[in-house]
Amino acid sequence: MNWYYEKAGQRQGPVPEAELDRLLASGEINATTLVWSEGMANWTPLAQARPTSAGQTAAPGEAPPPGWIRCTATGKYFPPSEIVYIDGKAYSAAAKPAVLQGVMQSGVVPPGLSEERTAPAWERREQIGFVRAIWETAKGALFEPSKTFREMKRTGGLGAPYFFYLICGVAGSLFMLALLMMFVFPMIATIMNEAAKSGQKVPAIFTGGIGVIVVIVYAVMIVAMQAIVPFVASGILHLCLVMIGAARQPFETTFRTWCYAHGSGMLLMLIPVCGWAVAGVWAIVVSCIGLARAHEITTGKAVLAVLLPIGVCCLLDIGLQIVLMGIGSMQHAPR
Amino acid sequence: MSWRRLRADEIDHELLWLSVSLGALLVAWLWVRLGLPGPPCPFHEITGWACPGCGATRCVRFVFRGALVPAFLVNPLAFTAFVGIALFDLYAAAVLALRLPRWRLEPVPVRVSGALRLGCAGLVVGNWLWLLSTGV
Repeated sequence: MNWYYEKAGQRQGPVPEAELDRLLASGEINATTLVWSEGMANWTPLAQARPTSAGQTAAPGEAPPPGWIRCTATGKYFPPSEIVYIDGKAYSAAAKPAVLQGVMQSGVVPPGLSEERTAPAWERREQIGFVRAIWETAKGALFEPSKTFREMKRTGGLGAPYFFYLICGVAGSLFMLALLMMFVFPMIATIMNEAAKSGQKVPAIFTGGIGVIVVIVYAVMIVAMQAIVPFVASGILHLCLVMIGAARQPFETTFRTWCYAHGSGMLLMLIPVCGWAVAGVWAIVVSCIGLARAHEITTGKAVLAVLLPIGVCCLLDIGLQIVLMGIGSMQHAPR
Repeated sequence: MSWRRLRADEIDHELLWLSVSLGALLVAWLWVRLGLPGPPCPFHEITGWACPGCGATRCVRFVFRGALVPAFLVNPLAFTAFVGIALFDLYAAAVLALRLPRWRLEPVPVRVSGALRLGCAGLVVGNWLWLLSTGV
């Protein structure tokens, strides 16, 4: 069966059924694109003309239409015309590029993704309640990270994990700021005043000591930074995963893992005195475990990706020190 | 590389990273404007040597003052990254405003991706050696 479709006001085609599927998967046409085929009275949106293929999938929990095939990558059902087979496994046309990229990078076909995975408690907060959702998500990530991230959905959007991190990050950071106000800021104020009296250069904001304005400025900056940090940090982390050839899932998975790991970690900052140190270290540990489970890579590769920015510095430094020591000892060697 | 329309269930990376970079720019500008102290580098504090990222804060400060040559010299890789981000922002703003197809990278063969990784690592090491030699 051949199809005509409308693009930029122009009639395109005829194209066979398979080509129409390819155009749909590539995003060149969508469910609202007008199509026409022999036997049809008028031009009709693709979703109505061919309701089983316009990017619609069976809703979770519903029985799929007869003959539809489950995509190994997404767990959703698609009509056979939208299914391709790689290494004997069925994938939807939309998932094919990501699967092929994984194959080219690792040489291995990724295993089924969403078959056993469920949304974390935070993404079910409307059913279980806001506070319980935060508590259960954080408890799972902090105390059972391996199980939590092995069962966590790798897709589902960026909004929910970002919101989770923002709440936990702002709460932890502002609590930390309150502690600093009580114990550390008075000490810094004394140092700054002494420095100003002795004629040393003091940052403009500290002249006159640390007052309410300084605290407000810091609070605003903390909130602003917490809003940006998840994207920058998970972006760098995903880049590191790509660099070591371990990015077997898209950026979305790395972002979700980072937000749930570090958001949960930020709640540890609410423990007075030692909370900040515990939060910093444990969030890194949870990140490593989470990445390993979510990307289905070895823990070693996950640790390597997380520590790559720090590790590069340390390894290069050690190497440089050895070279310099070697040169030094050769210059001072007895003749 | 290919140009195509965004799929319905796809993350809009152009909108996402344009928003993040503009947000980061605003925070950086406020930070510099308020005269807040830059974060100390633990690596530099411990070893006395520059780390591969040392000079990035000064690079930002120079850029805000319009001193592009000193900004480049203080950390060439950071400056190049900032230029890259600025170019991406221009592209993202254009495709979002004009509803144009998006630029997407196609999977590359293992050999090419390996060479790219080595190239990136070489850039970081080369930049770091430059920082050490100039005493940034």
